[in-house]
Amino acid sequence: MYSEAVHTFRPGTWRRWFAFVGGGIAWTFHLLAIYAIGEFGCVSGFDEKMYSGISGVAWLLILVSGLSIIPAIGATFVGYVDARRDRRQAEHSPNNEGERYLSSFGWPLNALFVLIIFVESLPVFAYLGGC
Amino acid sequence: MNPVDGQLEQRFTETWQSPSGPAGWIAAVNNRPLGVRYMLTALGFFFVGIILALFMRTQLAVPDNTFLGPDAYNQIFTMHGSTMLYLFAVPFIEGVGLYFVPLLIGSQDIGFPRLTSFGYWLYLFGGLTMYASFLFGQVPDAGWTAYTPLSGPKFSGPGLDFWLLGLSMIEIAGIGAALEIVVTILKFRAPGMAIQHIPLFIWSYLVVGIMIIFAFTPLLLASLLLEMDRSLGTRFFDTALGGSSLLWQHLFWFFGHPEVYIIFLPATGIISTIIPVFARRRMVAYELVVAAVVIVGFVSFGLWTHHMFTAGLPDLPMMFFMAASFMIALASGAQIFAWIATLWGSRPRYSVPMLYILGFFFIFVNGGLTGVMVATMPFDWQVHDTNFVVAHFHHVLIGGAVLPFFGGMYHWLPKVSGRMFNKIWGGIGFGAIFIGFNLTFMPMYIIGLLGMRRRVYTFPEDLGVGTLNLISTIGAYVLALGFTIALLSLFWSAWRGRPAGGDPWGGGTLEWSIASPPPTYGYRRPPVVQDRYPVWNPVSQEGRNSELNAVAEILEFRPSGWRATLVTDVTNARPQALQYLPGSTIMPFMVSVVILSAAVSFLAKSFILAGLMAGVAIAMIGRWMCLEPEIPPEEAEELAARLNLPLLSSGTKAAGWWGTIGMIAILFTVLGALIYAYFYLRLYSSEWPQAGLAKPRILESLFPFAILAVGGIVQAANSRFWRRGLRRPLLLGMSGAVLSGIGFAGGELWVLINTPFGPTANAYASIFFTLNGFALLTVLVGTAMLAGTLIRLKRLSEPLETPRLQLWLQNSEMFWFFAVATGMLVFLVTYLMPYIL
Repeated sequence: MYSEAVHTFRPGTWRRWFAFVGGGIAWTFHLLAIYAIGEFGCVSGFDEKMYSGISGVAWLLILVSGLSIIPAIGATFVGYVDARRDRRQAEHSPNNEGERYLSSFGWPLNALFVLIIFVESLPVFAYLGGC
Repeated sequence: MNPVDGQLEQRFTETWQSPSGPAGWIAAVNNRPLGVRYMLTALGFFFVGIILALFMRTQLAVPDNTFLGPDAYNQIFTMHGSTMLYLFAVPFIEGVGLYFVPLLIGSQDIGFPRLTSFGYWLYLFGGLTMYASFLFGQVPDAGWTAYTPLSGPKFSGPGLDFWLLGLSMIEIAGIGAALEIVVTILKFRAPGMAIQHIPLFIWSYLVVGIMIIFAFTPLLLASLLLEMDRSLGTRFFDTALGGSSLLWQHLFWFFGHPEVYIIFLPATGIISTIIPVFARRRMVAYELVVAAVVIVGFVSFGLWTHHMFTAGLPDLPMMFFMAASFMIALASGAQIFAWIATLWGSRPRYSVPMLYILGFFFIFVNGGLTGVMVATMPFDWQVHDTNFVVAHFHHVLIGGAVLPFFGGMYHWLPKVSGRMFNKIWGGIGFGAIFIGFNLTFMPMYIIGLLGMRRRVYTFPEDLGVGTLNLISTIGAYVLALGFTIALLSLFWSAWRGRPAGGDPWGGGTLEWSIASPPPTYGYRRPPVVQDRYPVWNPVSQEGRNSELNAVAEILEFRPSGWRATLVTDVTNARPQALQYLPGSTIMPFMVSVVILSAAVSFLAKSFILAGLMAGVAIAMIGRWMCLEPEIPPEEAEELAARLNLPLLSSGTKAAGWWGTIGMIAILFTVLGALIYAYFYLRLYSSEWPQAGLAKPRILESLFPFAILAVGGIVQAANSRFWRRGLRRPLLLGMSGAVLSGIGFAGGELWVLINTPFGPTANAYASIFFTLNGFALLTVLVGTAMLAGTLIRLKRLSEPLETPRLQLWLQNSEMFWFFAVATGMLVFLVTYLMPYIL
């Protein structure tokens, strides 16, 4: 009854969903990590250990912020690339408009998550010396 | 209509009808009657909450008033907050969702109809349990936030037990309803309703459903832990024995802040539905609004400690939450601008629903701005726990949610009842609500800034807030009058209003494409969609839509002998299968009654009886899940041949598969919260295990956990047997996995019984036993699921590839792997960590 359309470019399902919610998942990891490092690190006294004049807690926070923002940027990039290619080939794949939408809508969404992770990481620079 | 179609329609209608009489009423599982029941029950509780608010405001009308004593005041503000947040707001939005989500996506019903019924009864019984405390003169009095140690066994009486057990039932109901709304949106959308055609109302419910699953679960866990502290003597929140009061606050607010958005987002969905109808144009910036809804859904989980700015936590993590609070304000603001842009340049009809939306703009923006103020740490330190905060959250919750709810009720009254409302009484009701609200809550900002604390039963005259409090009290009476007029006008119109016709507004979304009120069966055939406003832009009959139309045509009044709805894929909404939906049954009601009996036994301190009842409830749920679909074979064969779609399916095409994923997500959240509690207690303890308790004995515990690990490996091999169709090795392997589960349970029980301390020794002991008990229960459920599948495999001779066997194998395997992973994590945390940290 229902047939698949012929098309030339079709990223996998995982890639599509990564381009849609990759930034959100990166943000979730970032939140859990900065909270855990923030409260647990500060209470346990890890902030008193200094490395190159910066506290251990601050180093860890900078590290996880970097680790979180990279996949968020990655999801933005993948979404942008897929969306561009989809646009060029839209007439060949009329049956997967939902999938294409994941990328075309996902990359600006991910870009916003990049911004949110960046802004939420800023406070650490006011607390480089400890909690 | 020819006679054959007439017969088909009659049979179709009978299939979807609930049985008549009181028994039929109890057994109903259809989404719309249950959605209405949810909404009416929630409105009943809302009215009770209003009466409680009037008691409070009467007490605060003049300084040094003695209308209520301090104890009664504590009880009334506790029940007011609990009623409005747990018994009105969330159940109401879930009722709206259960009714309208299937209508707006073109589905026949919700994903798990029996769960809808079970949830409703549990919600009702939970609410009645909370209010039963009045009958015994033991009303809860620790506030809707129930902070420990105030809510602990030393400072609160049995009223808190009513509150906690009632709340637990309501939370289970809430999580169940959320799960089925999410599955319905993902899998039951009309053919063609690809992800970019999903109405904004549905987007908001999808996000909120997911939020409820992850936000309510920690509160459910926290409520159970607190009840264990109170009744069984565990020490999670007992600071004298290593527990932590802050742990309660963390678990509570991890629910509590998303809760605000759980209430607010469906209201935004209602606004995004009403504005285009009354502005007579499409919603502007659809993508921006969807992005804002998704971002709010995520970031609302990153704000919980901004309720704890004065709790003495380190500054650095607080700063992250302050930053997140500012970011969420941007996302909420984006939606406001999109609504204004939609109205801009249009010529809106200012009917009653629109009046409520305009009221929303004024009040919610006010609440949002003061929200940014209290999200700023130095400002929050000044106004924390004052009337300023009371004013702020009432602006957000009444302005941001209750006004859109009322707008929605007026907007959809013609759809639900088939009758129009009275514009004059509707307008008078809105006017009284708007004036009453501002009179009540605007002065509270000043009262709070002048230093009056919240939750204090009176105030001295020399504080200088007497006049403002009197104005606030007068406003509260006007507000209550407004709500009464609005609700009475709605009920009267639903009964006696003039007939509305199918679509009095010229609405664009799918619900307006069918008669008002909707027929028992909902849609006579699945609607085909190619636009966000399918009524404004009906589908063409050409191209790929001709294929979708052909599927829809075959399904006109079909299947007529059993309940089913069309399953479509998540992104493109292409037809995938038919999903069988169970009909009316009394089973959900019976299970709810047994759970209520367990709660009552617990309240009566008959713990053995409570445990027995809980066991009976679990056995009944197990039986319920094993019920086979009843499908007439002749019609099934004919339909399958014509549609070329499976009538029973497995994997991502089956609602049951998504249900299992949801159940695992819920249990994973419980596990995560328990592990968090373990490390949190460890963080604030100078020694671990606390108070010189012996470290856990790794060698003894290694035995059961090693058996469990072997069970996991065996099941991994079983997967291969199953996929290759090797029945005998599969049966043998599954028997091995079941035996490993039983072996683990026996070994773990032996280890726990022989542990040299009990769960009440201190907080370490409590979390040790709770985590291990959770692992034990999870493995037992996983073992039972595997055993059930094994019995079916032995009993049924059909090939392994048949969908129903596939689904059983997939679900039991997924859950088993989760159980094994849970066991491994619990072993790492409870047995190894004390030697490392």
